[in-house]
Amino acid sequence: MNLPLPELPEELRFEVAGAVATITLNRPAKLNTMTPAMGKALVELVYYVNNTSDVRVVVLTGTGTKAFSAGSDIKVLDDYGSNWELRNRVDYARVLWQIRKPMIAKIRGYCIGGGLEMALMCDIRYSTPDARFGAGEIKLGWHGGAGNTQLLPRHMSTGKALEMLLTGDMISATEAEKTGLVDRICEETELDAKVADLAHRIASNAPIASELAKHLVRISMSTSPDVGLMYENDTFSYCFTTEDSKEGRAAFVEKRAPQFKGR
Amino acid sequence: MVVGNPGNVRFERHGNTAHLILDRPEKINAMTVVMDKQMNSYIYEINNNMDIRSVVLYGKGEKGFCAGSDLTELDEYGNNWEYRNRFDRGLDYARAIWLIKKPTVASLHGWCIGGGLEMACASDIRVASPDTKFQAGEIRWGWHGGSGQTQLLTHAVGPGNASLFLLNGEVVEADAALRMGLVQEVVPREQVLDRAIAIAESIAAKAPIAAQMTKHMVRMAQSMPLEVALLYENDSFSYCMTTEDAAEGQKAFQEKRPPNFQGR
Repeated sequence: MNLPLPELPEELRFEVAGAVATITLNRPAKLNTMTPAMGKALVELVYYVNNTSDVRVVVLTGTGTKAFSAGSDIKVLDDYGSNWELRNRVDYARVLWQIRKPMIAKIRGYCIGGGLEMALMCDIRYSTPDARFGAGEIKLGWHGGAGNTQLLPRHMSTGKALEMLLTGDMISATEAEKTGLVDRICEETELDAKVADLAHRIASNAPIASELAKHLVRISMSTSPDVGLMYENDTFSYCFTTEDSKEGRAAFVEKRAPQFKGR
Repeated sequence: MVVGNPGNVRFERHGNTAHLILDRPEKINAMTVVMDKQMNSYIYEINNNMDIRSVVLYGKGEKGFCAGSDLTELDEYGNNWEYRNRFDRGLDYARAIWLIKKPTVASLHGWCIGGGLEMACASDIRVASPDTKFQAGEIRWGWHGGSGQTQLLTHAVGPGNASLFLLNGEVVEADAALRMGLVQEVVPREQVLDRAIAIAESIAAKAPIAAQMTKHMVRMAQSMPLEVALLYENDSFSYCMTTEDAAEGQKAFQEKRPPNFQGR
């Protein structure tokens, strides 16, 4: 199934190359900060990406080298409405969590606040050496509301996560790689090629198996190992009902590259 | 006031209560793909309109509340993987009910089976007439329900009763459903809808933030470890106490008058 592309504001770019879609946060003069309108448009994009079989992998990045994203534009926070309406907002980071397909964050410059939350919603994070990561909300009088307190401790020790969350201080790409927050540091001139290579290699695998692998890793974060292991075995069995698993076996026997169709 | 498109699923607003009406009585309100889309389209309005504070869900016609999915057109959901991913396409009518943030009361009569039972279980409070017949009969056709049947029913009636429903696939009568706790009240057929509406309107008169938080915390009681949920409850309670409505409630109590809640 493929859908018509939704209309997008200038601040959000979307391109598809092969089976890899790239979502670009495009507000470089404002460190790619997010407005409520961008959040709403992201919802449309997530629906499109999930339900368009030509898209198998998503890359999330920001325009320019100054920032991946600095999170919410604090100056337009009031646009969300009352406190209760803010609580019930369409959250630009949370909505990325709904993407079923593998998603890679390509990070340059500041990756802070809600920007860090968006990066945390991705499955794999690559950055340049000059990227900087921080959860600075605490300096303003609150903590992150879409993942920083819940997902940061999954990529570093609880002590390190609390150091970031309670001081609001930024860490370097080197430190982020050491904790596992960043999966690979690439030189500025190589980042685009490395991310594209990773994305296309993932996209060449069987889409149903890839989506289920992502799903099962999520499940491992939210259930006990016993339940997770049982769930894993049932989706493994489901994979073997797909045409792609038959193609994979045939290609293996015939010593050729498999052609996966997502069925 | 009436809004929304006329069709097989209808959406009406009466004061601060939304009515979701299954209106395909000749087919026991069996859900088609078109009805599924309609149902999902109403949920956004219900969740995002501050003036809607509670919901009543019911089915038209003598035969029953809902017979579930129209099995003659399941193929329209696409291939197996696409059908599995219907949640992400806004194409699961029971999931749609589950996603309603406002307290939801189901008025049940006659057949309440398959996906109909899933919609009932996804509601917060269930009122039934004595002639209501409940059934999770999917097992007879070679599958089990996929939109909450094995999970929500088990939470509602416990594992033994749920297994009887799910593995036997037989009809359960209203009095047995009441005994199991699947329905909260059984009232005469001609009164059941009025009773459901009365409950929903009573909820709509409460402070909306506190009512929604209460629904949320009851959900959390079913999905969180108790120690965490108790801590969460206390933070949610503290949040409620910061609202204007909580101040109004305290003032009204002291002044011995009914409170006037604004949802702030």
